[in-house]
Amino acid sequence: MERETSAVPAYSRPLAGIDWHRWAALPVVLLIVAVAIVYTRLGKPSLAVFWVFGLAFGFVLQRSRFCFASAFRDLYLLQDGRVIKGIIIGLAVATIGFSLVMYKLQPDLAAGKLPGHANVYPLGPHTLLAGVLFGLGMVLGGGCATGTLYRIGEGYVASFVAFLGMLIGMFLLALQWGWWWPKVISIKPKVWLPHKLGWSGGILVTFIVLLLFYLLVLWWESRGGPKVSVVAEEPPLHSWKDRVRALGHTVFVKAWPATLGGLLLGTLNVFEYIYSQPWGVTTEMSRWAGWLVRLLGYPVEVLLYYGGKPAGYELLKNIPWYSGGALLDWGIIAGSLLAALLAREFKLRTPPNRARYAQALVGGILMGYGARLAMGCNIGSFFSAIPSLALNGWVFAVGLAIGSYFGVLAIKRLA
Amino acid sequence: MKLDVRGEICPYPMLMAVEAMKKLPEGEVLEVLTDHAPALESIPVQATRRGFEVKIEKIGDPEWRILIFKGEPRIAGGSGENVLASVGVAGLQALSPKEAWALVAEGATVVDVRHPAEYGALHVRDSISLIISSKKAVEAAAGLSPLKGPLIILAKHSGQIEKTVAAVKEAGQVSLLGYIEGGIEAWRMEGLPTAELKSLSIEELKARLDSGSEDFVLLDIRLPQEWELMRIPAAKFIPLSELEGRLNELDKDKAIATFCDLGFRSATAASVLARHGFTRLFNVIEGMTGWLKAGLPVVEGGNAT
Repeated sequence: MERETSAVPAYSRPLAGIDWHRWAALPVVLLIVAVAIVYTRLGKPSLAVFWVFGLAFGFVLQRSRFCFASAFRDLYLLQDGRVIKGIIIGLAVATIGFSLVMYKLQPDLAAGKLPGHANVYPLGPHTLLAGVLFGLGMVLGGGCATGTLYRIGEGYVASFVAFLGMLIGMFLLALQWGWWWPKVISIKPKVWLPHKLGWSGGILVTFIVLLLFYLLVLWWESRGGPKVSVVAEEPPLHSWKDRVRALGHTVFVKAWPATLGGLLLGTLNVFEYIYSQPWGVTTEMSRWAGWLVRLLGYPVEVLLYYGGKPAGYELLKNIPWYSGGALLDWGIIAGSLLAALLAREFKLRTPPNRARYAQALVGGILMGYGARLAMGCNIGSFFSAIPSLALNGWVFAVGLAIGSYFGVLAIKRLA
Repeated sequence: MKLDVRGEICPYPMLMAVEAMKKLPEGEVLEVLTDHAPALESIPVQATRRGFEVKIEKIGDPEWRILIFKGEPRIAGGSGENVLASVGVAGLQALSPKEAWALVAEGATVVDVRHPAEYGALHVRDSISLIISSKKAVEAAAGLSPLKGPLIILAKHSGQIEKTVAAVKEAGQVSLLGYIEGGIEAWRMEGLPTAELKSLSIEELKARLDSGSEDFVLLDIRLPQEWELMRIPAAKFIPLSELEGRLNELDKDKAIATFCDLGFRSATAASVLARHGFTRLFNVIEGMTGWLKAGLPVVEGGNAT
């Protein structure tokens, strides 16, 4: 009566064919190590450090599927607050860390100075406009600035198109910077909460607003229907080897909760501020845009954005592989690629509907323009600005919410 | 109904799946093919919210099939175009209910590995309830004589079957004859004998205990160390491992409510009692967890009696 039986736990069920993902991860790891060694040998160990930061950001973004574009979009579209709750937690953690760093740098509020590198930018109507443009762009393009980078690492071809769009949008803004900067931006005040409310007041207000926002998200989710927790069925773990394998599965294969992603990104952001400055992504990308346009023969250094002192970027130096920002951005792509390979989630994906490329391009252009108009994207003007206790971070966030709403309207029409 | 969203960028996989759920005819299975990993989290949230059940299967690197369906899902086999049939179950024999019934007549035992609430609602008569996803429940039931085999699995879906096969392999020396094709639904359609196990909520249990009726026994079947740690004052204690040897201590005419920490092992205990002709059985599904949650009194540190 006895019959041959075989059982494989669900998490390690082998699929037909060779596991090429895991093999492909090997050269990627070697490349990652080689880059770090090369920069260290070239006498630029700090660039290797930025490379590691980028890898870590990319890895966490991919593993926790931390897409800022989906934050407001999925609230409107699906009453799903998964990512936005992660973002709120990340902001809260970074607010604590940033406050400590800023207090170390500039304890005396009476001096009226800003702490070094804090993302406090001139606050004006352009901040809100930039948020709206960026919010609309990220929903159309299927990813924010960081989302676009980590999705490139996962193999989304449309995200690469969005990336090109961002470079175009950034250059368009650079062309018009000569008007924006003197006429609109530079004349506006930089509003830093501790100057208005004191240290404790600024921190407290930030936390209260974050808490209220979290409660609002819960209310919004409850309108969508009940939350049903599904208990994952997992086989029992007996030996030490079973447990180690399960740990590997949890870290490298299963998706991380967005709350963990937020916590880690917020923490990494604090570490980066301690090491040099808050996390930023698009300043560097605008350098690449200028560098590429100059390759095509256009003298970009005549533009205020690339050559002028007031903006102070010296944007054409050290490009595009010899600056911290560059290593950070490349690191995000490489970290995400590695994470996607280890999770067997990498795949070159081309959308069946060709119109998505146009959508991604337009979304990218809007994002690129908006990001530089606000002097930062969803990271620089939002994820690093609110913890900097800067009012421009909140205004940009309102812009993102408004822009995402219009983005959702557009998305539904294009479905 | 089939929906292929491979290659699509965010948020279209989720958006299209939600639209398809809205249009899904009653009783049909929606099959979503996707290569977009975030959809594995978003789509189940949307589906469960709308009362669907979800099953995700990895079919490639990286491609997934998400099955979205309502009500009692059918496992391999069954009638019509059953998508779940393609899942395949651990190389085990699929038995029709009639074949399984014939094997039971020869001495095989049906082991029901579904959730206790599902077991309570309807099960194969004389089957043993065993919650395969709980290591504690499986360990506690290890010595029971009906589980020495040969066994036939009754499950809700293939994951439970795979897990049972793994557990049986672990235990060794138990022969596994197969699983019942089409699950409890197919069994019922064939008109083969079934039974129910009523559950008792914490409030109902409290009311019965408060009435002080001589006709009611609360039977705690947890481990001695759990009993010593904490127990309900009026409970009678027989650990599951000793139950079969101490049946003479129980009165078949009385109502008996089996009790553990979460209704899993108590379901096993009730199913053992049912095989021995006890008829007035109840399972306290919320168990000690629910009792404590309700803030009701317990005796701590008492000796096993």
